[in-house]
Amino acid sequence: MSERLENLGAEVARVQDETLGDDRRRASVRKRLLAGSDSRHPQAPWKSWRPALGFATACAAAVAILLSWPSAPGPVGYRVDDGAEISAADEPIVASDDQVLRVRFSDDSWIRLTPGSRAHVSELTAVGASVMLEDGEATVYVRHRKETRWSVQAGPFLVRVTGTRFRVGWSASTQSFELEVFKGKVEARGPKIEERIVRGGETMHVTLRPDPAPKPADREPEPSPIPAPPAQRVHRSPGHAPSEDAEFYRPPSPPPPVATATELPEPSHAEALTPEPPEIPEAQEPQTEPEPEPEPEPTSPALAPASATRPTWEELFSEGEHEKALAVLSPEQVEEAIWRGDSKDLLDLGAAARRTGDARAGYIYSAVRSRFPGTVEAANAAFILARMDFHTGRLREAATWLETYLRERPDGRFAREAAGRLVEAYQRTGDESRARIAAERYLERYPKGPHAELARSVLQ
Amino acid sequence: MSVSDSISWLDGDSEGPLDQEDAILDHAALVESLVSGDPDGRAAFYDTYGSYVERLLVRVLGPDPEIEDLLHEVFVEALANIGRLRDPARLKGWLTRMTVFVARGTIRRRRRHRWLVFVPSEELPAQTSPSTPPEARDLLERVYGVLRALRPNHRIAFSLRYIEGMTLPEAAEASGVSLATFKRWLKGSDEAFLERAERSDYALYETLLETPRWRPHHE
Repeated sequence: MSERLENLGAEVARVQDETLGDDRRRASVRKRLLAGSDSRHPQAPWKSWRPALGFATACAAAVAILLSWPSAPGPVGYRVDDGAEISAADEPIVASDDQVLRVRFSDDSWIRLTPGSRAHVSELTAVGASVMLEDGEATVYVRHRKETRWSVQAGPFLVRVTGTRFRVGWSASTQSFELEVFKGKVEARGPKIEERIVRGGETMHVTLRPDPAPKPADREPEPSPIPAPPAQRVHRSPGHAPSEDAEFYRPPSPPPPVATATELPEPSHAEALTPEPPEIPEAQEPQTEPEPEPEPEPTSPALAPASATRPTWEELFSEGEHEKALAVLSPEQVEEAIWRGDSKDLLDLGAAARRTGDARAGYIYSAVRSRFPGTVEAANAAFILARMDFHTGRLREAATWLETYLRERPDGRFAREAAGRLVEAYQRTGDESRARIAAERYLERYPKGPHAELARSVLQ
Repeated sequence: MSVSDSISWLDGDSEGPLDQEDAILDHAALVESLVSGDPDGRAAFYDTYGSYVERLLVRVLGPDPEIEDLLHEVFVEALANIGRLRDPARLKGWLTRMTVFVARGTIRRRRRHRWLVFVPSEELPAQTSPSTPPEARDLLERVYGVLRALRPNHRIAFSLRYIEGMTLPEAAEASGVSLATFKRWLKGSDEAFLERAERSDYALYETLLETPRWRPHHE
């Protein structure tokens, strides 16, 4: 995370440096200093009476608070998206198939359900809530307070929380449970796991079926495809809908023992990939982990400690070492990771590739789109591909990816930025008619947004 | 408390590294001219370090209408206390600490008064170049919106380390604290920044977590 903060800081500095090129402020100070002036500019008159007015207001507010102070705290309430506050339990909460759903609680905790997920709040107390995740996936943030007591039940698994952020999933169809803790720790219990503490950076995956399917079973292509060498790639416009993307990759001949290859979209940045087809392991069943070294605490396959020998991609991903994965793993292992890792890991891998200048970044994001179509992660990958194209001057391609993102996630968290960048992309490519349409759409939704001025200039 | 009434760091007994960038400057001659009140020395002092001090103030305070006044204040105080600088070679480090001290004082003053005023003095339109893209202006406002909510030491640590890009020893020296203390501040600032962003600017938070910057890292 430090590196991400450094990157953010460097970007802020870059923007500030543009302003610092203007020396009028320095010139003014120089003049004052050399004139021997030791005084500040006179304050605006209204500033001098602000404190007194503010103090009076604060006193009035304090009186109002004392008069209305409740005698005892009531139970936590919640809102679904921006709806009215609900204080009753057992109301069904269902996310539509194409949109994330946010549930905000009055203790500042929140839950985000992925599209198609179903849940309900089974209990509301003064110190927390109990939520039942019936099916799907939720990211959960619980605001820590002294007496916080929260729990999330996912199928037959129970996760107790006192203040943390984690992701939990339960698939009723595949009977699989997944838990990833981002921060803090939680206590999980359920079939096969007894009672287990899971800490920040750790993940847990349990399948109750006798023959567990590969994770995530409903998303992986069957069987894992082998990407074609660059010469065989077909470049297509990224604007195609996901279902049309199935024909882009052609596996090299002869294919390994794989009945069919699921063909996948060509990334718009198919740069510097390995010239020879990588060798993918033949086994299609999930590989069994080697027996972990004896540990003081009980372990499970999903929480096996890092091997003393060369790390596997699973181990590196579980430790958040995506940059290291790109650096130390063989191209074949990276390839396997791309086609077997989960969507969040792939986004992290793509981000690591971009940070290190690894040319596989575009390929990784394209794989996210292909493997997890219709998901938030796939939409985000489209947005990132737009950014990459935008920077390299491929504005038409950037515009197509931005349109894709906005079509898939019209209310997504990058929607405003995407809509603004779209205006910019069309304007800079000279596509006036599309620029006008994008500008009108932008101003309708974001009349005071950062790109509003640009949009208005396009419409003049 | 004015800068002049402050503690012994003004005595310039810094243990910090010499600044290699202005090693060619004749610090001794410059300091002597300042002590003697030479107007040419004053001009040379400002011309040498004015843009640096301005940049530091902008890094810590962000888009702020008081930058001009604070820039002036730093140099007024520096000129008033130049006699306390024992080692002219440490001039830039000494001036850096003074700048950070002035910035911190401003932050603390505003925090004390924040609950008393209607209009937060810092919430004014971002002062960016007209050619700055809208997204960049938006980024500045959002980052400093989060930073304003942090404790002064956390905000200083974040700004010096991540925005100005100082090394840990440089930033500790600039803050006038030990390296161990600065590392504690920085760790606190990381956690506080992320927590605050997650609560008050979720889009910024997720941008930090999941996407790279708009520009590639390596060019």
